[in-house]
Amino acid sequence: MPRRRRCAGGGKEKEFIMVIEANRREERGKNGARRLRQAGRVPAVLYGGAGEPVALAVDVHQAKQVLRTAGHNVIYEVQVEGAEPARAMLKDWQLDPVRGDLLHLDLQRVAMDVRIRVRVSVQTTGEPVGVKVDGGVFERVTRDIEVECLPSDIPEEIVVDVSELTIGKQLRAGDLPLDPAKVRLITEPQRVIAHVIAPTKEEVPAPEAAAAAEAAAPAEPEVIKKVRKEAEEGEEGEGKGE
Amino acid sequence: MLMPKKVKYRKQQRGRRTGKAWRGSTLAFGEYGLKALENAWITDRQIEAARVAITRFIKRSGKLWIRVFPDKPFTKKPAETRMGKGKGAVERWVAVVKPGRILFEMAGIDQQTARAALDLAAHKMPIPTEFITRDGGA
Repeated sequence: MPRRRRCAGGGKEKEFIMVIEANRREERGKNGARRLRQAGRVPAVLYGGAGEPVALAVDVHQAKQVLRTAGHNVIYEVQVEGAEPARAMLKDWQLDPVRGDLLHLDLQRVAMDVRIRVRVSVQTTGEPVGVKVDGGVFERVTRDIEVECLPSDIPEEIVVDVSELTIGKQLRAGDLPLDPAKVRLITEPQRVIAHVIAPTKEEVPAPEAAAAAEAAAPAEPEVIKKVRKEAEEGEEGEGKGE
Repeated sequence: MLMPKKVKYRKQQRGRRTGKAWRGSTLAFGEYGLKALENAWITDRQIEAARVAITRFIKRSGKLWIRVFPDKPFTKKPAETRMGKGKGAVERWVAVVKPGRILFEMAGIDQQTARAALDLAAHKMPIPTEFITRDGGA
């Protein structure tokens, strides 16, 4: 895949600008999209910013490599033949539910001087005390958070150490190590990112109790319509009695 | 056994199971999952058998999510009954599953344990399934 190294921040910080080469797509609709996929290309669309939406076709191997290596929070340079290269982000992608094949890509133009809202993945490191010592279960409740920042300041991921977590303690979005000068948290600070819960114990009921519970449980669910009808009939009966 | 608490109508028509599961086909809660590769009616008994197999295997560790619910009644006429005289009585409750649907999800355990537990659950299912992980590895 074409990859270009570019220096930013006075040459100290180096960033990669990944290039996506695309062609304009003339054929529309599902039949055209299917023919395109048969030919080893993926339908895509480039929209947002000042320009008009453009229907594109991208090489499937290049698109897969982009998804696998760079991910979605990366600024790409989309090169369309006969047009100026555009800076864009991967806004969305569709996969086949069974085979996992890439079906479609959404690319959104970004202006490098305008703050944007993106979802950033939260990764955890370390084994919590509550799991190691107390035998609890570590659960990640929220896997990504929404932040606002300049496109050049998008964190690749937010890594947080959870080794101090004990049973019943939560790590919240407000506790995440973010640089307030560059990144503003949009997700509510009280949102639980991860916690350690006490292990669940499966209660095996005694055979007698299980049989009694089975007998007590209704064999059929309540029919809403029937209940309403009976209630109406009851009201009518009371009305006549008066 | 799993079944709805309230229903609007007691019996349903069978319906068709065409297409793929465009919803409920990605991991939403856990790290590992069991994905259906074919369509099927999965009964409340099969779901319960899989749940019991998983919880007994993982003992007290880990967390399990069941992503399908048997909300469709299927009816059956008694044996040696002449045709007619209306639709049969509700026999069981089933979940309509299409290819790609995530059936179970697990978290809080290592991949090897999750794979073994979901393999037990897969043996309770009437269709071929696939073990999937959040990072895309199968």
